[in-house]
Amino acid sequence: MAAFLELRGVRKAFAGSHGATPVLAGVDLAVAEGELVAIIGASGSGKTTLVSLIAGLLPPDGGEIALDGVPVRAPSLERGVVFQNHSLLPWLTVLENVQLAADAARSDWSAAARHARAEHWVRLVGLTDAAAKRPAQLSGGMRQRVAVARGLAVEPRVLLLDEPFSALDALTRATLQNELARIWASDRRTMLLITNDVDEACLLADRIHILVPAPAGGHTLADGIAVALPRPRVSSELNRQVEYQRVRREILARLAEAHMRAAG
Amino acid sequence: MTRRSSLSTLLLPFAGIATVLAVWTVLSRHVAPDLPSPWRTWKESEPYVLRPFFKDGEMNQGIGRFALLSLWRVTKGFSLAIAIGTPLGFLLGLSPTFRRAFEPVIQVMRPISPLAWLPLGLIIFQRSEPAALFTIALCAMWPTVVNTAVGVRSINVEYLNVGRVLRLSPMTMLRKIVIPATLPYVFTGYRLSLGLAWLVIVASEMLTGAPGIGGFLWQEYNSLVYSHILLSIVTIGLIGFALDRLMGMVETRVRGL
Repeated sequence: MAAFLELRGVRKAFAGSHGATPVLAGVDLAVAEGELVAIIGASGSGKTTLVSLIAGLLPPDGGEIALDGVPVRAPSLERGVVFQNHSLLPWLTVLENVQLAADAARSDWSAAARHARAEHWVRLVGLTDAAAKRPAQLSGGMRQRVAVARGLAVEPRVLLLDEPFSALDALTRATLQNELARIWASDRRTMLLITNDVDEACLLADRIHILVPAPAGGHTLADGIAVALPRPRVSSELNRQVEYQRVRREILARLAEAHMRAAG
Repeated sequence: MTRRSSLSTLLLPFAGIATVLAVWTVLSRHVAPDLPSPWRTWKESEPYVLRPFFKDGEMNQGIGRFALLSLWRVTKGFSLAIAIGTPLGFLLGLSPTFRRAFEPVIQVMRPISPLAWLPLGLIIFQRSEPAALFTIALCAMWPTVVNTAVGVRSINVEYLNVGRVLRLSPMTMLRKIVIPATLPYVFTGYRLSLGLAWLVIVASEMLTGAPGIGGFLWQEYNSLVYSHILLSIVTIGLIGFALDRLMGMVETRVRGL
């Protein structure tokens, strides 16, 4: 089976004062079209670097990244990104921020059609009433919704989400996770969710990979753990499901083992 | 506590002014007999201040009229300075090649005094008015150039990454990301440039003898009416202060966006 998004032996190191520090040491990953794959890693395990590489913002030192068989060389509208710190442009309103992406995605459309398209994405994340506000006037949860709307407005073939909800309080996070699940269920866009939250990964993903320390420094991706939970998944009911408990236990065990290996 | 601090904010500036007046009085009485006292300065300046817009001749006008002439000249020179300085700053910030080529030239041109540029302006333009504008623009544009360039270089890389993943065209990138992100720096540059332009105007008017606050100051020095020098100095200071406050307000509004 040829994967839709494929990473083979991807390596990246950053030059520092003590020579090169390896961040990613041979990452392999295959994501099928329409799949939602989560990647869990501790802080400093190269999560954001991985996103930057797939997005084409950084070139890998070695290995191959390909989307639908086409090698990744630079950023492209086929790979949308929801950045970690929302990265909304503070001088633009909610609608204008999303409009920027809608304009990029649908440059062949008329201005009116593109405007309607941007409004559609703002509505999808429930922010129509706040469309004329600037990011500074919004709560953290609302800003992150705008960031998701902007990511979706690109209408990418794969959406990369870099810890989209990590800066939010638990309640807001739960709400946004459920919304993301709803959005994914409605259009089945391929998504790669980077997170440090095991429950978030279990709730959303078809498959979960863990970034583990590599023997020679840096991190690499361990084999995936399939999450065979029926959808729609309801966060409040997940706790009672045997499959959920199994996946959760396995991930925590693997994370603990990775931690031990890193420490020892 | 609040009472006391509000009292001090009101009283302390007066104490500062009183100190200056006291030093001035002592100087005029005991050290420099040619220096008119504050009171004499006021008496001899009264007609110029109380009828600020009279005009008896090219070089005998109310202080308000002279101030307006100078302000108009500064407006023109400052506009020229930011019209050249802003794009220059963006170029320096955006293009490493351009920066390597022109940064040394700019660093050398920056510290040159207006008194040095003015004769050059007179040689180039043959007339005093364009020479004055040339001098003001050339001296006043550097803060705009430098601040704009720094602003462009310190744009949050997150914003640039947004532009990159959205594959924005260079023009859209400039309009939607680079310019808005740099604007606060640009306005800080404008504020400093305006301050410099006002400093330069006096020097250029003194040298060219053009009617204005600086021209009036120099003429009254030559006519030995020293009190009017002091009147000019006080006026220059007050107007400079007002200009800075004005630009400060504009700057705050821009930053608040």
